[in-house]
Amino acid sequence: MKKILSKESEITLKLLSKDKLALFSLAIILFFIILAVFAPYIAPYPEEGEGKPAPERRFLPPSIEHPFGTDYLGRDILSRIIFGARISLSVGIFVVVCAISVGTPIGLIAGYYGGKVDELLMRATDVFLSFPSLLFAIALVASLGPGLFNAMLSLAITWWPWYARLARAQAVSIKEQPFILASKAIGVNDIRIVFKHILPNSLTPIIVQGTMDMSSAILSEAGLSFIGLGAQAPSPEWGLMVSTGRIYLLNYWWFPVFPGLAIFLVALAFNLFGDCLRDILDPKTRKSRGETF
Amino acid sequence: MKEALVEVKELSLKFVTLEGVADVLDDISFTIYNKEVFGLVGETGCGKSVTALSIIKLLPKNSIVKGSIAFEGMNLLELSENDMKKIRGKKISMILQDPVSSLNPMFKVGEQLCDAIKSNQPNVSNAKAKALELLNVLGFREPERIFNSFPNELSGGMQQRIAIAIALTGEPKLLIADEPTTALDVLTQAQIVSLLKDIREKYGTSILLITHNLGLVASICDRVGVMYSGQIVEVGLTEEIFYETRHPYTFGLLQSLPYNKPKNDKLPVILGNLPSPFNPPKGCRFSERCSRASEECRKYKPKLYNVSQEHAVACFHPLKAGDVEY
Amino acid sequence: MASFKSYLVKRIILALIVLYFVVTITFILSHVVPSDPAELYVGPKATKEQRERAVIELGLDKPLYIQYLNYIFGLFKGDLGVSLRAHTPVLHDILAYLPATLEIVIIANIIALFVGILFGTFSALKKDHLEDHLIRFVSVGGVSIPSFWFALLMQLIFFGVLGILPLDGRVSTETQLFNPIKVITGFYTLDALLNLNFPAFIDCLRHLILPAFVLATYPIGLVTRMVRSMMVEVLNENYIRFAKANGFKENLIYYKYALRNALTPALMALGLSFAYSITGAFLVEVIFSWPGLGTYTVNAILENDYPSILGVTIVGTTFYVGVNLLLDIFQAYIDPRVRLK
Repeated sequence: MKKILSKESEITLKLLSKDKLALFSLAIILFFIILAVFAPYIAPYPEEGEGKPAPERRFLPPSIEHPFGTDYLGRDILSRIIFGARISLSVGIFVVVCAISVGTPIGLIAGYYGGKVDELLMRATDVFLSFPSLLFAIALVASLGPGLFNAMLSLAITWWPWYARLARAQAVSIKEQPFILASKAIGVNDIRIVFKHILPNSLTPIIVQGTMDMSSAILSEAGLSFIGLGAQAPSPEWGLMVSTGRIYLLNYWWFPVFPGLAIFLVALAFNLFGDCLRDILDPKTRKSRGETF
Repeated sequence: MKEALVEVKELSLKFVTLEGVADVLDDISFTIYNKEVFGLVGETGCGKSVTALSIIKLLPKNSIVKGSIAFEGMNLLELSENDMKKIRGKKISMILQDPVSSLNPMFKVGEQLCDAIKSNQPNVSNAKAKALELLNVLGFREPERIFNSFPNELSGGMQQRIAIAIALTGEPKLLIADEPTTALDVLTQAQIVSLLKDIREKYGTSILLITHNLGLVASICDRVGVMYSGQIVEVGLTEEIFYETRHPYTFGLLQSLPYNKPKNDKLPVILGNLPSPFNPPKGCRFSERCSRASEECRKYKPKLYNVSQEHAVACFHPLKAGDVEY
Repeated sequence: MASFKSYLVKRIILALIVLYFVVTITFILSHVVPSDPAELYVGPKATKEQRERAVIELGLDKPLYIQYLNYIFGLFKGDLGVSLRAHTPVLHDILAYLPATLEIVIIANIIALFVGILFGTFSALKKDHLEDHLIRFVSVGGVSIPSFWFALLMQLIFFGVLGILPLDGRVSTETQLFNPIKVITGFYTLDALLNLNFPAFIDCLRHLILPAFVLATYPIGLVTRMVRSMMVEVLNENYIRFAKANGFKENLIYYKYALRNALTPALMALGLSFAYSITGAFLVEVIFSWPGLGTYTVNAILENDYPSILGVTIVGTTFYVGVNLLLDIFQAYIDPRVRLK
């Protein structure tokens, strides 16, 4: 079993390294990760990045000292964007990791055991899936109160059902395979089977979905912050910056435009990478593998 | 006087894959005559299906093809895709191994049949009438009901017959049948076989029958080509192949048939496996598994040479009449 | 033989069960979580008696399970509670704001369906060529772009720089003064046409373009990608190979056979995009000051008006469940294999 995994991983990495689009998007992702981790050392005006105002420099247009201009409190927008990367990336990671951690075991168990357990768990996920996720997030955050953490929590709660569905579908198709039936016949514990044998083979679609969900999580959280339900001032969160800058669009366009551009680039990078990954991992769309008849 | 319909000359095919270049067909040559059933036999993976796909030019994009396939005075391998489209369905058509996946599940059978007729015989005014007629010819007793059914409402045998009907809408000169009975039960197999015989009689169509089932070959084929690992090792009239076997591989195949053997005797089996297409042996590809192999066999590739008018074999140490008892 | 009718019945029952749970969860959210609805109802300057009266009026003094039952029965009557700030019935307000939202949502999704199928099919046919890569970039871009930011960008370009389209709103003040539209359906464009009020119709269209276009970007991306991936899969199927081998005309193969098989996921994508449209519309409406449900909800959020927020949640979710139900039924109608499940 281990052999199967590593040969597939070998081919995957080989194909990835040849895919220019994948490398390009990965580079962008790494770039933002570096920005987030080393923000205090990279940002030209780190205190402003965290919120300190500089009222003498309000609304300065883009220049060499301030490549993205300054905002309504005179703060350097570039520095704020760099610090904002920390928020966006951690939101993405938190939401996706939570959703996967909750959804996957539920889905695997439902798929593996089938019968009543399956019915029950799947009806529950159906109910959650019927909510348009942002709407549910809005309702949840409105009840719990605005704030970045509540926003992240709401998103995680609305997102886990997708992974449950995915994991279940994988479990259902894998559990009939000979090596699983063989393990059962020897008397291997059910839980062991699910987590040691079925889980590793189900990872592919989950990883692909997770990558693209990073993008959706970041976009949703920015949207929530935009309407005031997520991060609050003076946080350098990108959606919040666009929201604050909105009224100055026609006079000081750089204020809302550049933070929004950052959101777009990060979301685009994750989506492109996930798309390339999916094309590579899905045997049906792989290029030139050579078919046998 | 037999006229050649298709002449395959030194056809070679390679696939470019992530694991390397696969040498799938190695300079194969054979002829199919008018109004004959030509069988192409061999184990799974020997290259018989890709031979068929080469003739009808539906190979995957990573293929490298060399050689020539002569048909009606043209070399099919040199034709443009546009010209090839005028041949498919109208002069050469093909049925696939799995009848269930050959028909589009979202459209009724009659509609697909009519579309085939409209594509291959545009001058027919009433497509539906022609479709019902075809269904009749193919042995359907309730053509109207079948016409209005979806493919998944019919049995495998019926679906195969409909696929054959579609393949015949253009009244082709050559029908390629790739393992037409493998996915079907024995009774339906017999039905399909007699159907193919009828088609040859009625329409004068030549049939290229691709199969690993020697029994099928014996019952319907006029001539047979035996393939091994991308090469043709023996070709000739059916009787010659069965009763005057020359190639050790062909002999091994025939010996492994469970007919006319004393009970409780072990079934003779050819030991070993097909060589990998990525690294084929330099000499005769069968040499590793052949009990008659010599140094010559491992170094040089044997070429097909005639032992009688129709019978040819590619071997340095072929069997001779009297070598074996039947 | 699988019957279409039995599938229909099963599906509807399932949808109703789901709706029941949705409603229950919303109740839990609305009655168990928030701090003090009564206080919000009367405002911070109210006297003690006013507050106590509010408690009785809102039914907050009764035990929880009675509140729950009242809530459920109220829903059947169409009572979604009363807005805490405006003191008007929530359902009434929602219905008033709904048509404006539907107008842009419907148009955006129609655009997305056509453009998506076109791009997706073309992209699949030209797989791995330049056209495929370009379209893929556009579709992934569409799915990645923050709608509120894109809306701002469009305003900046088309109003700020080029000056050819209005900044926001549904209809200009000039039209309201000189060519007022008599409202019939609530869809201003339709109403203007029905009244033969062409200057107003043009005006409405000009106001509609940017919001609908911005709202369509995500669905276009989604539908294009799904159609492309399904088309690529379908084109590799045996029945396509069989049709090719037997001389079917190429247009027939691609535009009739392949496309029909690929249509199912296009519709599925549309279902997903509808969900997005409902909430995506919120953000877009805010930017364009479009007087629809989005603006209503955002205002409700800013003022902590729980009944309104939850009323919108119920309506929005019901709509979403309904749309998915219709799409599932339509899919079962065209694809006979679905009915067997």
